[in-house]
Amino acid sequence: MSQAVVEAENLSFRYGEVPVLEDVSLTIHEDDFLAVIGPNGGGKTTLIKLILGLLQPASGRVRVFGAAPEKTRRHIGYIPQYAQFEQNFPVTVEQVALMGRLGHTPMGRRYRDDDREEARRALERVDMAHLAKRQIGGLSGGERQRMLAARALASDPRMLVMDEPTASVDSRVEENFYELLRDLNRDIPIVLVSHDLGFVSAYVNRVACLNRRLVVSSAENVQAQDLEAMYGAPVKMWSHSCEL
Amino acid sequence: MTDGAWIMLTGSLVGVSCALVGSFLVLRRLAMLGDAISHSVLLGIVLAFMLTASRNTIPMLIGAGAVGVLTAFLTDILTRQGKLQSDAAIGVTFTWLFAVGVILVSRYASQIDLDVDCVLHGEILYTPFDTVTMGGRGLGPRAVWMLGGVTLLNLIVIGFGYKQFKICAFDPALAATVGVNVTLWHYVLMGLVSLSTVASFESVGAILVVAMLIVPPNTAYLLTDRLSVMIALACFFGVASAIGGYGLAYMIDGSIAAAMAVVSGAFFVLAALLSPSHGLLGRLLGRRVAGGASSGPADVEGPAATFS
Repeated sequence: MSQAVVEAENLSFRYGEVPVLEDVSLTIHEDDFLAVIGPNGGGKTTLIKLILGLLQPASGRVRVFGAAPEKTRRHIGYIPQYAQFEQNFPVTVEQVALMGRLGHTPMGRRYRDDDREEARRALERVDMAHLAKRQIGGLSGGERQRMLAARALASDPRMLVMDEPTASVDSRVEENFYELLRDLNRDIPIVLVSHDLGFVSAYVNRVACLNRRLVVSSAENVQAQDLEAMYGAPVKMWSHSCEL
Repeated sequence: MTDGAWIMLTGSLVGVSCALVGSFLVLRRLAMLGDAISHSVLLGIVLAFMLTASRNTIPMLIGAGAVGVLTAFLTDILTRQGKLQSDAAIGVTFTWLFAVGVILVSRYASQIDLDVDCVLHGEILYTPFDTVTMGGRGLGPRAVWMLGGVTLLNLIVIGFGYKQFKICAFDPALAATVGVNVTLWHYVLMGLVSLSTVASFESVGAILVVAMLIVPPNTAYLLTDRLSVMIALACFFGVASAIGGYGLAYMIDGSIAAAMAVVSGAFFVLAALLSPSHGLLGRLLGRRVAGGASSGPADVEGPAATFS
């Protein structure tokens, strides 16, 4: 049995009077490629923020790598839903990847050669090394997502957490991106938030269906009735496992 | 040194200290918060005068710094808790704090050696006459010492926390996920903006200091794709505006502070027109070349081209 990296027990969270998560328990193992799916407002991003220690649960507890999440945050490579930065920000692809080294660099000290080497390696891994000196404004949507992945990888993460990382890219880029993630999953666990199972089902090994409450299944065993119960509406199941 | 040289040095220090913090204000889209702080610090200055009954630099910097940070804090509270748009929150906060400062100046004018016109418009011409002396020996204008100290402080703090300031300006959400205390760095920046503003207000005034905070960094922003180069260029344009402004004021016999702001605006217009990557002329020329090269209708970048 592979080791647990995230242990969430009976988590509840509410924004003001609005309950977002209720009694959510989830264990993520070191070889997991877990998709957290569910309708908008179902609590997916909130669960991610609890794992990152950016929010505190109203009740229950989360342990990440056996410690409080705010202490282990720098071991998690996070890729956000949208690139929220200004496209004309005066920064190059290489410098963005270097930001992933921030947690490894003491305050007041410049990035060292080995930090630059880590950033370069991360860019190579996502096939972005040739654009290292490019200002970020000139990147396509897919390249931006790869740059953010490089930034996450440069932090030498023990786990990758992504919030709808391909929301702003087309399906061909999405496919390439998931191929990259499958490759990365050989070394580290990956948690991926998505609003629909769609593409994701061909790559992940477990699926967590979240709409305030959580149902976890293996990717092959997600049942239509689970999804119907979660979305509150009839759901069609499509198979994405195409053999070429 | 001649009076003119002291004035240019004072203006240059205003330019450098404001450019250092203004670069991050511009990148964080907080330019108007800089405007707000430049006005509301009046309250801090007046309170420092009233409490200490002197124009001692240190209490003035502390008072202005505290009110500047208070301005940022109240704006934040009104935006988050009061559900106001950030521009509305800024408008409510700084006008109120500034008005309280004006009332205090008018009510206790006899006890306060402070002129509202001077606060708003500055009087850089007189800065060489207000000197620091030690053991009977003149050490130069007080404004130069105060601005020099604040510029040095800005350099030290920004040098020390450069990576943190950069990531907070670039993507605050990411900064939080890698363990950077975004709120702390925000208020550190606001504190530095407040100190730079209050150190500069006697020279260029609370209104024109905004020009030095915002215009040189924006000029630099148009000319480079690297943050470190942008900050260096912003400092250069700050100094060039101060020296060029002094020359312009000398020629037309007009307000030195206003001339500095006008020259900084002229640099901005030139950069907006001539910048190789962001300039209007460059883009027009590029469009014409692209139009000339294409025999068919204008090229439209489709999804396939975008996500290559």
